[in-house]
Amino acid sequence: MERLNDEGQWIVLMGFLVSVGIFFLAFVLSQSTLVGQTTSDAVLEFPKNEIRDYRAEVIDLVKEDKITDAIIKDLKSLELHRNNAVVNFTYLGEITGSPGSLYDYTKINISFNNGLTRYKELCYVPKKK
Amino acid sequence: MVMADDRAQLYTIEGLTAGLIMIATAYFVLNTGFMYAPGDAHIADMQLEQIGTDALLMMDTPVNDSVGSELEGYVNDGTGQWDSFNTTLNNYLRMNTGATSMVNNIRYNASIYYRKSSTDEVGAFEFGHFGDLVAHEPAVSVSRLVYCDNNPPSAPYDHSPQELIFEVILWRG
Repeated sequence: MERLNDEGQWIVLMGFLVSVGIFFLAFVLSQSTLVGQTTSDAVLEFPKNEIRDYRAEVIDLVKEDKITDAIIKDLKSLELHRNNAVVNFTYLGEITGSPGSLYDYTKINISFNNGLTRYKELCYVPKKK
Repeated sequence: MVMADDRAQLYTIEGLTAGLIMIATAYFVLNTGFMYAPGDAHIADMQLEQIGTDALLMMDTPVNDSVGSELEGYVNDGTGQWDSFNTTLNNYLRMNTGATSMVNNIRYNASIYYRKSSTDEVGAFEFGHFGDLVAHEPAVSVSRLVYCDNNPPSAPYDHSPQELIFEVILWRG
């Protein structure tokens, strides 16, 4: 058996390293466009403004004592039909501020769920004594 | 018959490895999800949506606690207030420093959604629109919940007080 020729090993090794480098770059390229696409999709899908609007409206209504059964029904069906969201709102009672304090509080629970994003808040709405 | 011998085994292995690497590289390149829309295609939509939301938020913020907001005033009067709403929204959407003039290319359509108390369905009617109703690019929608305790004759409401959704569809024309 003839001996194996062991010359030029550096050249072989460098060739190998370059090919691994090209392989790696191809992998990075295959991922990059997907990343850009999914990021902006995620930003657009997040219902930040819807949640803020619903929360502000409910807190205002509680402050001004305008919540009725009809209003709650309106909120639920409008959010369901226009924002694809299931919303809920529950009264958890009145809390009297300690003597000398300026406010009484109404304790409420606000929730918003559009299947992807769920928001829940326990909120104390202040009312001037 | 030529006898198979065992020379140059390292070269054989190297050739095989190089071949595998090339095939794998070609696989990754061809398998790339090429999208002709760039990743930032939605940024313009996001900006338009934010401008619209901010304009409606400004309109829905009262100057003090004892009065209702501008938007509540418009909605409580039925469709009669379209002109003043149109002026205000146009003004908010195109606010600038006065040192530059901007191309007035935002168009919109405003509608009101309400619940029919008899059937629990949601009804809609058009509040008004600015510009031709021809959308060129994807439109975005922004909305506000509005409290209404009036029953204007131009609106088909069947109970009061009630909650409405005021929705504006915006696009660049």
